[in-house]
Amino acid sequence: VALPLEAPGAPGAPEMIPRREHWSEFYDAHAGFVFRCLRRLGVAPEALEDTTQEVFMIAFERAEVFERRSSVRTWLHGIAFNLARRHLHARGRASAERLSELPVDDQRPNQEEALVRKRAVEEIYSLLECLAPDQRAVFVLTELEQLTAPEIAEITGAPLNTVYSRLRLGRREFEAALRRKRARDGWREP
Amino acid sequence: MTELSKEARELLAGLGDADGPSAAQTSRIKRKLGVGLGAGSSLLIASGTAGAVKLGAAGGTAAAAGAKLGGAGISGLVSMFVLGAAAGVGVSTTTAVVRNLASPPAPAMVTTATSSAERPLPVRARPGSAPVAAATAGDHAPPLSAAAPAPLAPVRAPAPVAALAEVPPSIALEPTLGPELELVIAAKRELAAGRPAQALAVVERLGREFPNGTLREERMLLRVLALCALGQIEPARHQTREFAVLAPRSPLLPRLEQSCGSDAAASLKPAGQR
Repeated sequence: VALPLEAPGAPGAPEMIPRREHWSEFYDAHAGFVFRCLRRLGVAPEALEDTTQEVFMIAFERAEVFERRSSVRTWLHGIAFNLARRHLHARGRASAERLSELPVDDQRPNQEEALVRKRAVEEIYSLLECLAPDQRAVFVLTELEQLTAPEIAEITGAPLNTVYSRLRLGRREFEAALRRKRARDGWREP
Repeated sequence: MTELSKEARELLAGLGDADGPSAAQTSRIKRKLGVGLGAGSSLLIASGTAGAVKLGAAGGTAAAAGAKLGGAGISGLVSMFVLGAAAGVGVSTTTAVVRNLASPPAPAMVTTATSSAERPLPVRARPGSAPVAAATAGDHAPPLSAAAPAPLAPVRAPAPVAALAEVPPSIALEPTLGPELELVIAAKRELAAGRPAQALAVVERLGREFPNGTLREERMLLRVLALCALGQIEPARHQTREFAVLAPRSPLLPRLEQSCGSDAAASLKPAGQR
């Protein structure tokens, strides 16, 4: 029996997998965060579209067995995490994102604002590159995706203590990378 | 717990959704998925529920009843089918992502030919692919030593032929996950058609070609269902135990509990989830 569509953004609305005829809306509601999550987890720019597509293929494949033990969002995070991990294993860690290819939403009215945002994105991604993959995953899921440690343990299959440990190390590495970058920026300024 | 500095927190908070997909990317992915809806078109989904899809004649193809083709601009369709829901054998679904229907016809990857002898494997042959070997009872995974032998359960009847979605011959799956998904679809189709031995053969091929595939859990579930349908209870239980160990939190685990391997699944489920 198909379940009713989760109302995107409706506060307090029960999270459910949509009826098949509402998959389009389901995609619209979640595509952005799935894409962002994959990218933050380290999926290479050229693979982002295909991997996003695969997340939804698997989500639709498994829609009828979704048990609502977690939120839809966490469920999608889990699929995205597994595909990102597979991607990283298959290709090895890229030394750096191809920042020049990072898309800037052409809908933004102010190009100057878009450039500022693009630089902020580049800075954060360059810092994320300094983290080991496991640390990066926990760091991203905690600090950017706002998931709890138990949720991350569920998604990654790692023990809770390991999640906390990776988060601690990830934060330390991120801070260290930020300090290094600030030092370089200061040295370069006239 | 180490906390982030104020500067780091502000930097991360400023990210927002700036690293999200562009509108063009979102649309492109949607088109590939086949859920993109142009103005005036319908979502192209072939429902797998009984009566919603008609099977074609032997050797032929049929359009999925209920699926609406919206005309020019329609980019694809999502085909979904359900196996054995009413029989309690286990329900599973598959999504086939297809290319633009306006593209030149490609060889059919899924066939509904019902004559059994020369019926080809309903998956596009790929260079270097090994021929599908006949499934045997002895090629299942060995039992796990930690699991005590479970008492024999009555054999459940194989699933009756379930409603299947027909895929037009011009459809071709997208790359990456596509080839693996093709085989999953093929195995499900064989199972739904009451051909568990053939389903098992496809599952074996899946295991050879995609030993660590993304749809490994689906493959293991299909293997259990096929073994159950063949009356091979012990091999099904062995596979179920392996599944429960390898993927104790799998969303597909409840489906296994409906199969003949369910005793093994229940015995290995974490205590808090029983």
